[in-house]
Amino acid sequence: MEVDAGEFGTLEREIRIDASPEVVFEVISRPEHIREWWSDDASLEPAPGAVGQLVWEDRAEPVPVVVETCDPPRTFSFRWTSPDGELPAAGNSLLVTFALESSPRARCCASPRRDSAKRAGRQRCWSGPSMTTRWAGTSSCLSYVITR
Amino acid sequence: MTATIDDQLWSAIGDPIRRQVLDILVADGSATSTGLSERLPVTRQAVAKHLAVLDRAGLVHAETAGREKHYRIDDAQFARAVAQLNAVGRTWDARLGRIKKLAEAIESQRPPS
Repeated sequence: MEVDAGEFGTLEREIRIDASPEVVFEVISRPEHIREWWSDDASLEPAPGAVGQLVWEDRAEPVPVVVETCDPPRTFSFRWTSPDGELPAAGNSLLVTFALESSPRARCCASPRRDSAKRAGRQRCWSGPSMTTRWAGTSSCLSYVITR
Repeated sequence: MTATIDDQLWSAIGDPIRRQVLDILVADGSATSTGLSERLPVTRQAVAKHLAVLDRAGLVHAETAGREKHYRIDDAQFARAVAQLNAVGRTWDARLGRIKKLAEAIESQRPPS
């Protein structure tokens, strides 16, 4: 990354999601899902260098987005919030980086009662026994970093 | 929607040394560049440059007392910077929350493997 994170502002967060990294990657990178968690409408090719648009009904102009990294299911990053009339590039915009890591399935699936108290606030616990057997055994750790 | 970000403020508080400078000023009320350099892993000259950036962003003010400048936090501007960072963080936390819900809903609808 050409951005010197030490020189500029950064925000960093981490969240655990009970879904495989492949599923989470689709949600963060595909326009049909971006419409569900971010803008009112989105057109975006998940490929490095691709220029996409985010549309909000209360904004006159669509907002340009440029994909920097697309490495499924690990890393997805893009730039946005550039000055009017400029495409987002290093130095004039915010870089948002999503990093995904798979982590072992939460133990709370096996013993919901004990763990629900311990993990309260960190993670929602599956309650039904069907859930325990249903899915592949990994959850995802999604972190995002925003830098200039 | 994105929160409006004041470029100068964002850059000023983004640097880890400058954040340490702000921490010390918040704790001590005021300090000189010499005093700050004794507590930070950088030279007095480097501290002076960081203070100049903070000054330009309106986060600190210098008062000349004796031979050296004494720096203080500008409380109003500092509060603004904190509020801006928090606003951007909250907006993204909300988006991340929606991503989590969507992904977990899709995962739960997948056929058992």
